Amino acid sequence: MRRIIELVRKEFIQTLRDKRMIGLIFVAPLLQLIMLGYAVTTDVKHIALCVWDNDRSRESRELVSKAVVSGYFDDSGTVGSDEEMERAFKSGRSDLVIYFPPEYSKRIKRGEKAKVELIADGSDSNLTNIAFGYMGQIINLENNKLQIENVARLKAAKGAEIKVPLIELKPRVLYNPEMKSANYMIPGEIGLILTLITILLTSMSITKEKESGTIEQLIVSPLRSSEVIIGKTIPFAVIGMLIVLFIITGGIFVFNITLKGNIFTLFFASFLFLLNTLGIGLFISTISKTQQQAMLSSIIFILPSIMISGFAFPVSNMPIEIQWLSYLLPLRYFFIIIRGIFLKGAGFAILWPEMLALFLLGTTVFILAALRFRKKLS
Amino acid sequence: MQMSVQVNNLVKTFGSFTAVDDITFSVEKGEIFGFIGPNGAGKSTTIRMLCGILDQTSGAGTVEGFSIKDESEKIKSVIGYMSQKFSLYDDLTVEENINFYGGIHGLSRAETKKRKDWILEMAGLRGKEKNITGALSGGWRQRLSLGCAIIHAPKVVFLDEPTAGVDPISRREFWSLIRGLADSGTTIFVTTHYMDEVEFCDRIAMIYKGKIVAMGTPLELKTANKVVNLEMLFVNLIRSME
Repeated sequence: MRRIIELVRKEFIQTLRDKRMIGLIFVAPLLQLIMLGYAVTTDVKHIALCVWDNDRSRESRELVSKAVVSGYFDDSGTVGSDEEMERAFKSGRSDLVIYFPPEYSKRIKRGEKAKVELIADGSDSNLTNIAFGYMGQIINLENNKLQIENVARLKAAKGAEIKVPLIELKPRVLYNPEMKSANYMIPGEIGLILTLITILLTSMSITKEKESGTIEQLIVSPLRSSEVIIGKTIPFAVIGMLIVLFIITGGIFVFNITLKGNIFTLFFASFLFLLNTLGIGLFISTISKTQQQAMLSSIIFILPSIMISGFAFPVSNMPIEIQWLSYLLPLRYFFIIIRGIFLKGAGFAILWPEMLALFLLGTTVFILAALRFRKKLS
Repeated sequence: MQMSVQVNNLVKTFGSFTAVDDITFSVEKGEIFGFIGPNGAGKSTTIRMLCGILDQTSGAGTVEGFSIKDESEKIKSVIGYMSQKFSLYDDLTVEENINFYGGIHGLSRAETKKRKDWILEMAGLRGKEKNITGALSGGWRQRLSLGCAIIHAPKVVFLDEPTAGVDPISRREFWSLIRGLADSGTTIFVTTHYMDEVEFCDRIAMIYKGKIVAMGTPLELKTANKVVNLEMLFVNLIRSME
């Protein structure tokens, strides 16, 4: 026991004395918190809208002003020809062009079908989809209004009761009603930062001992390899938990995210997840001779696992083979768990399959790494 | 006389390269046994096998009666090892290094404190307890490294080129520390490629390309081969092998 305590103490002193490490541990989560909270947002607002109006009527101006008032579109001026429109797209002045043909207002007044054309840039497919969606809703509302006006006019003229069936859509979003992307991103950041920092710190602290030759002293000491492993992982588990606490606090007090679930469930899940990342870090240290190798191997593992585990891109949209692969990634389960706890207030009763998966994956990785580590020691 | 280290037909190969080629020798308790040879002769490999860092390819050996093959954990409790790199944590202070090595060797806090005083005295580091180890000069690092390697008062100490890269005065001081340890009953197994250090050893084995080419006390070797210094003997032996 004393041997482990001494190892843990040494690890803390070394980590906290190294300025680079301090930067990695405290500045990286802070920067990520700020970036994911403010800068990286999937909320789409301020779509640059150009108007190509060949009708120049009250009706066409009204539709445009409704789009601008909604807040989703910014008035980005007018275009008058194909060439001008192309220039607007190429220069980035315009994301979307709305085209009113001549006779637009006359057709409406005559009670005929009037056409509006939407032309989109399309290079950002996500933005384009959302722009079409918003504009579609605005036009739908306008249609309803026209119908109701029409009916009212008919009613007044004929004095008869006329019924027009209308389906009104009332969407309700349950777990992130403001649809704020920070609500989704910041819980995800816990997974991101824990992966990055604990894998890097663990793998580098062991390879550092290989580089300086001190690993030989550990081997010839009476320390058992299990004691070395425990002594080497406890400090980073503690640091990892502090980071979790830090991000939760920042998310709640700076970004007004509400933690709907239980904070202890969150910590328990984080611990299960740490079992995985520490095991992976340990494993990487058994296949690397230098700190550089350890760092590169860590990045090679971390980047794809962030891409395909559902941090920003939904796993259900991926090819089936990639989805199978993602079942092997602890991050996949952890993202489901933390978002479930944070946004939906889910607990053990709902999240136990994911927690079980984390536990099984984690113990497997940890045991595999420990076995390899033992071999290297003897 | 009881044997502290006993090695029979020890072999270590790395792929097709034979680093240690069928060596047999023994070291008595309390003697300074020098392993002399050029770089790459197989000195470090032999030490690593005896300390349980490397597995041997074939052959057998014992350290303080424990087999190197399957009792390496027991061996670890009776030996001290100082590697070529003076394995210290450069980012820890002198005191932190001593505390750490005391701790992982299972010394209590009180024992560690007692040994710390002794090490600081021995290494001439009193007053430098709070200095960062990485900033110490070679001689100090070397003596601190020795102190950390023997903090648990082991029966056998393995020193792998302990004087490499250290100034002549520090080397001389170091050898008198080693002599003191041997006089108090500790067995010293030391490798070097400095021929002038050979005279400090009770007995030596000359190793070249993984084989022992000569073994005995410095005086025995000189009279048997009719040479005035051992450097001449070593050069002649190597020439005759080429």
